[in-house]
Amino acid sequence: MFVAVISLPSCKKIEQTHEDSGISKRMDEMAVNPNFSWETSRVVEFSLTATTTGVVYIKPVEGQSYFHKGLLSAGETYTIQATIPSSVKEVKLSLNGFTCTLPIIGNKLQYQFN
Amino acid sequence: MLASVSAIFATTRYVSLTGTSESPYITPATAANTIQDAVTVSVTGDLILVDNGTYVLTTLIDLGTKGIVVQSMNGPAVTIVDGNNAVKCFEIDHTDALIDGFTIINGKNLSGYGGGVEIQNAGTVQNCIITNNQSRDGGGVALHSGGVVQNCIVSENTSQYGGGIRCYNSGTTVRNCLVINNTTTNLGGGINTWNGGDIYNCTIAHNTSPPGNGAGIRTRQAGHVFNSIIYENYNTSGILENWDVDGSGYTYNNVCTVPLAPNGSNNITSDPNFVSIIPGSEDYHLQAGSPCINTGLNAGWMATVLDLDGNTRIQDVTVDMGPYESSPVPVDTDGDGVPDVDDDYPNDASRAFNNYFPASGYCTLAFEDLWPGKGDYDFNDLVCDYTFQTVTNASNKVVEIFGTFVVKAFGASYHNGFGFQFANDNVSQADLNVSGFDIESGSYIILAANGVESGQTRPTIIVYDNSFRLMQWPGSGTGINTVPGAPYVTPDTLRVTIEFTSQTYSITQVAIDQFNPFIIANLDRNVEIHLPDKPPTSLADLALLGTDMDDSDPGSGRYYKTATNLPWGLNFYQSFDYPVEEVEIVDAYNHFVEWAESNGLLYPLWYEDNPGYRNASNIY
Repeated sequence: MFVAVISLPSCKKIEQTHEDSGISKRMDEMAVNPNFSWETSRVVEFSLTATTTGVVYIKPVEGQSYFHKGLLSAGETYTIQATIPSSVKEVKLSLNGFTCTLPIIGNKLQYQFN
Repeated sequence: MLASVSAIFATTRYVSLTGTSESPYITPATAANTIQDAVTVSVTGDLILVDNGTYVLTTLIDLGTKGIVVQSMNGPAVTIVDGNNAVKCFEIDHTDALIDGFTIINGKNLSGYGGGVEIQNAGTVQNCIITNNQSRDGGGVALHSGGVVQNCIVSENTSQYGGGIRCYNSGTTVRNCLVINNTTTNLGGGINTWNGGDIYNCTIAHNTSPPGNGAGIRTRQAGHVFNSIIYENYNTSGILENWDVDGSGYTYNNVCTVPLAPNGSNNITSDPNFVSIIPGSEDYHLQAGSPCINTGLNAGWMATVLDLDGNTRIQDVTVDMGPYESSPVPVDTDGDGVPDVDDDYPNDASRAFNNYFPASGYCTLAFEDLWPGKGDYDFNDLVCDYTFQTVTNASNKVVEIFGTFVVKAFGASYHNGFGFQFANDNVSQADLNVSGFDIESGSYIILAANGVESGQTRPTIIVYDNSFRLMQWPGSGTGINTVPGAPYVTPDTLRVTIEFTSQTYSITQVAIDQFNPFIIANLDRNVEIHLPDKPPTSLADLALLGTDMDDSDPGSGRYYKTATNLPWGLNFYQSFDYPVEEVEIVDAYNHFVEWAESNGLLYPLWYEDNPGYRNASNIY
């Protein structure tokens, strides 16, 4: 920024190319990976089992909302897909009063309630 | 279990097998190696904490008349006092004396009271497992003229009088105990009371005695039994003999046993319905529906003493019989198997749960509409907030979906339509009924009778056919709500209902959160514009793919991207504040470029209103 103050001609040039001036590249100037999804969310597959039947909640770590709610039957694997924000790295699982917080590694999460 | 001791003690002393045994034992490092050493230097009011280990005795641990608390640090599973089949383990005689949290095993006192523990006139034993002890009176515990035994498992002890427990006089109390598999050679296999003794909330089972002497319990004179289950106790001849009485003054109230207990009220003979009485896998908790649930008699001590599992003693107005309190059976008004507390439709057996996408608030779709030509990247040719509420039943099958779409803005001169297609082929179109869309009579959109779009191979729902019919152009500005200063138009909200006539699809099969939204450009049904890498529907003109600025490659699953991988639409997991007309999104959001170029790793929340993230003047 100091250079910009003492060198106005350079500054003009920089501004035209949007480099090092705090001004973004234009859309057409971006180098985007062909496989970039442009998504702000992702799909995670949860496989949950328990020895007791109950209503299972998949929740954000904070807040009262939930990503999913369903009836988990004892001894059966409950598999569901839920779309969650890409920025979410942990979820809270609860069943019959038991709650745990787990990291999401990859796009699958398996958990057995005891 | 009882709550941890929380009183204020004069001095805390320590016992550990690995301590240096330096009196007065007031640090874990200088802990005594025997409990008796710590007891000897203690006075009333002291606390002795005992570390994990097996403490094999050569002499009785005698608290005398000191009111001392002797407590294990980590419970009976890891803290064992072993009488070595030679000595009685504990003797206490003070109102404030407490033995808490030990396994007391192999105590022996064949000529007196208590193989494991003797309580003389006062004191408490709690949270202990008292097993494999033997004596003359009270193989596990003897309460001579006072004291309390509570929340203990008393098993496999032997004696002449009271294989498990002997209450010798009035003022002695046993409560919340499981008394099982004890043997007497004379009177009272599980418990023997003599001239007094109050027995509350015990399960007394699988004990034995000689015939006629009370394999489960023998009460003489003023013994009182409350809220207890006396079950499956057989004498040495193999005859069921749960109880025996002698003398007068004894009472049995709210007791489950066979035959019906004498001298009291509310006694029953029903099967208590334990979880299991199979030998080797016994579980004396009560099954749901047990006649022993909520059929006890409440008492004041239940307000402060937990049950044998450590749960609140009274959970549903009236205490259960036995030492284990059952959780109240959840109310399920509609009987669908989902308790009302978790049931979003407690009076409707056909519905159970609401699932929302997003979890709260709205998502936003933001489109450019000049495809396959290049747009101006202000992503406001359609700005539509949306949310899906998926209703499932108790079998986790989808009953209906409510889609709410709030058209906030369209910075377009094109008259565009908007719709979406299901993400997969799992759902048969014939299983749906759709309503709530806004399509003009005679529209270019052709619907099937059930409201899905006709001619599609996959369920497709057109929410509206012409944006300008939804919201009236105010007379200035480009489109609606994209030019600052132009009159604001109230967003239009549409609520589409998708009814599933066949409730056979799971929420994952339907995958409405992975839907494929698109706009239909300028009333031309051939021209669809989708999110990047979402395929066109059956009614799109595929010949347009790969033309002009579009670089779709259906063979590789690449759709609606330019040769430099730019999209014509974005989907946000929260409501998005869109750029004003003709302002590129990069000039409204300072970290958009970094996000895109880093493959989403940098600034994943670039669209939030965080310091330095936005140029507010470029956002509508």
